[in-house]
Amino acid sequence: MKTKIGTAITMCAMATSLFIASCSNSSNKTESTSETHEHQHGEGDHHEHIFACPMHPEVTGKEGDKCPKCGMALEHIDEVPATGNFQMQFTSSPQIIEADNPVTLAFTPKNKDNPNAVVPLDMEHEKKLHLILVSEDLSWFNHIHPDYQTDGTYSVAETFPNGGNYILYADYKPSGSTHQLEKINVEVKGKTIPAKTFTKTINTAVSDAYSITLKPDDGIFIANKAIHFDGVFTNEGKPFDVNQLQNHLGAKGHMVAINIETKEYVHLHPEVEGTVLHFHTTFENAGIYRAWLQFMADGKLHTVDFVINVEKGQVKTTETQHDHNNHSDHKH
Amino acid sequence: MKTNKSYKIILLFLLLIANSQLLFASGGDDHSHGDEKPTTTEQQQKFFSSEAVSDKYELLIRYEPIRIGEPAHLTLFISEYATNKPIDNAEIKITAQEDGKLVFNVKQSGEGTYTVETSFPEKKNYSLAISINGSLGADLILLTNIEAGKELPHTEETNGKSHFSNWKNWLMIVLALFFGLVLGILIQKRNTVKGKTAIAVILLIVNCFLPIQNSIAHGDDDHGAKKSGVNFSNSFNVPKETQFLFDVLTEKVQKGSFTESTKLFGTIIPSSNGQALITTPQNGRVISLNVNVGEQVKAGQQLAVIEQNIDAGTQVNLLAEKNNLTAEYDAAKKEYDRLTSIQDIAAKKDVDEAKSRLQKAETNLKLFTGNSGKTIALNAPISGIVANFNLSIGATVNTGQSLFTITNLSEVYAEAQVFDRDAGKVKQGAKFTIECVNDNHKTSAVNLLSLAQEINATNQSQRVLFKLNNPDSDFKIGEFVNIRVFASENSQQIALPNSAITEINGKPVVFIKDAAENYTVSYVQLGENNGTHTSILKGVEEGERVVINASYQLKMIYLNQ
Repeated sequence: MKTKIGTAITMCAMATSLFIASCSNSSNKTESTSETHEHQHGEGDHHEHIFACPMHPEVTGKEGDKCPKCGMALEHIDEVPATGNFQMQFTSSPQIIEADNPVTLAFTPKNKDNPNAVVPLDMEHEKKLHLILVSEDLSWFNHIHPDYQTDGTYSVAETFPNGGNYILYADYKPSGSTHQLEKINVEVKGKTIPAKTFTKTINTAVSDAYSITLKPDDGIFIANKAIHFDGVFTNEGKPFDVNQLQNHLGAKGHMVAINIETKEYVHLHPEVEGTVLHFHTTFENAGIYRAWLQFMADGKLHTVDFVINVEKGQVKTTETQHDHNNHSDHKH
Repeated sequence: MKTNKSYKIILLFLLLIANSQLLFASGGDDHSHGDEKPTTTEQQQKFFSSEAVSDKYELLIRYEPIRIGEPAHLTLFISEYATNKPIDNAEIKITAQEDGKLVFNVKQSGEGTYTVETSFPEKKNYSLAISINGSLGADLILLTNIEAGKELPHTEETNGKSHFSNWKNWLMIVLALFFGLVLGILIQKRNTVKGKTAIAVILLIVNCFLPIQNSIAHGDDDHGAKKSGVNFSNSFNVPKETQFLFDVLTEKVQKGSFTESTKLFGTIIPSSNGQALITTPQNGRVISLNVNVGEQVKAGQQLAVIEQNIDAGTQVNLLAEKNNLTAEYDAAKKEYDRLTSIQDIAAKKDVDEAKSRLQKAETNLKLFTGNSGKTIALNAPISGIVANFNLSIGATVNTGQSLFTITNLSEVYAEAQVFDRDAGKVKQGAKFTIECVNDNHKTSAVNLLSLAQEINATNQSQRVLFKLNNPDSDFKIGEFVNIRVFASENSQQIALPNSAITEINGKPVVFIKDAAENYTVSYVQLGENNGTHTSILKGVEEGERVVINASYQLKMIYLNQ
């Protein structure tokens, strides 16, 4: 009897000791984990976390914020990228571009501070260089992607439909630097067609069975204000869930809007909320904008176009001293 | 009785402690995941690395600490961005953004692996512009943060700490032993009122504290995971060499048209003229065997010859019968000859009678000689392959005994059980495929042969027949098969090859490639499986890179980490 109780005492003692040891052990482990973490943190970046818009690096904020210009979620960046002094060198072959004849457009990004160095580009929306081509009257639009060649240029073949002036917007981001937008004017020889004028608002566009209507809050687009508008899809007249759309270049849709007068360029990527596309942007100028929306449905790329009438909003003081070319270079 | 009760108390207490031990053990497990990090840092301590991607290629450069001014050896891994295939024989030119004069020697040293030799003159961060001309075309990618002159971080500090904590551990154990001893003594004095109350109080306190302590431990857990920023339980590292070795391939997730299908269970049966059974028409002896097992025979080919078997009694009877017939024939002939010689005076009726008698006797004799003791040739009724048989020359066979089976597998039927739910989908014109349950062979040359005419009374299923061409004889009679019925409509969905999907703890998962050497386990919700692809309802987003080859190996690496 005595020995049995003795055994019980020893068992009790051992069990308790084990129990407490396991307790202290686990707390120790937690300690060491957090230590390692701090250590790692130390060897990593020494900066505070910065969140910036991937397309508009001048827009910074907190985690979870959205860019007022394009509505994209701000992303964490480790360091403020250097604003380099970049320029896109443009050549075409043949040098004189003629309507209806294929031409190779070649682009070479250069760093003006270091003209001999090569300038690698980062991937943005699955491509390194986005090229938006429009005719001067904004009646013709194309969105293409020059590809890197062994000679160090980004080239693509294109055929312009008519003679006249065209504007190329080159949208790229040199590695380790900020986003760049460059406007290149091109003259195309050949038969010209009369310039189209756009005055009437067109908020609904149709491609195949799809119909898309842009619905701004309060029914109007206002300049100089962060605004929001919906892109409502229907398919054969029935409401269509945009989640069914395939991704095109990493997004459900891409919208380019260009001001008819100032040629100000806005590139938007909508968010999917519920069954409609949500666009967030700020139009800097009042006036008529041409807008093109590209989306992928049923394995086919659809491009639809709109005419947006942006009403004057709050008074803008700098409007009179606006240098349009510089402005659009800077923005975006 | 009393001792019984005391044991019960001790047992209860021990159980409580054991319980808490279990809980803490599981907590400790989670912590050990946290412990992974130091080992990975140990791995990182041997190397630095930098990676970059483009739409074509994925680059990873790995290097040991670079000494300034001394030759440096860096390892560059190049693979396809979307598929993770190693890129071989690429033309590579490297320039440093900070120093245009730096010379880099690049040599391929293995599958998708290149060694880069150079010497960095300054202690700073270099960015290397890598120009690649490989199988996917030309590309220019910048690898940043090549830290020349940087030393590996030290870990002595943590070691010292752990020594201290070990010492603290021992102290705790000694204290606990003491506590246990006191407790034991108290239990021994359970008979006294004081002892009883003391035990009760201690038990109560311990009971109250256990859940709180548990929750504290779990709180720490969460904290640890959040702090480190990575979910240890889901993400893991696979070195590039291992990826190339195991042929880890990925696919970029895209929505595509996915045809839903319905699976039916069936069995392969011979087609209506696909199998023949050859039996003996008479008792006899095999006197010639012209085929071997497994031989391909044509319709009409002779398989064997059988000689009729006659016992002695029958033989005598037969001989007697033959003599009778011969005698009858002779008599009839004589009679007929006599009557024809006296045709002028004989009655016409008698001559005719004699003639018919002679004819009858002649036919009977012919019949007898033709049929008695004769040999029978057995011919193949269809073309096909002779199945296994147990027969040799000289063997005796009985009437009705089956001798050969000839099977023609070039066209077989599949019989499927269709239940009411799927009956509407099975119709002429729909697309069908058949795959074997056990083996991998499958065919799409399937036609619906006959819809059910009646319903099985026991399980209310319908018997539907499919005809399939089977030129390579992949499908054998009696094999279990899955028949897929494809819907005519496509839908836009995310679908992954079945090879991408594996199971962890009984739940379906896929592996997603996050970075050059980093993979994440993603639990997915599966939709329809159409035999080659499975639609994914949740867990994978468009644009992600999902492992479609060697997911089993990744699972093993994940589970062993």
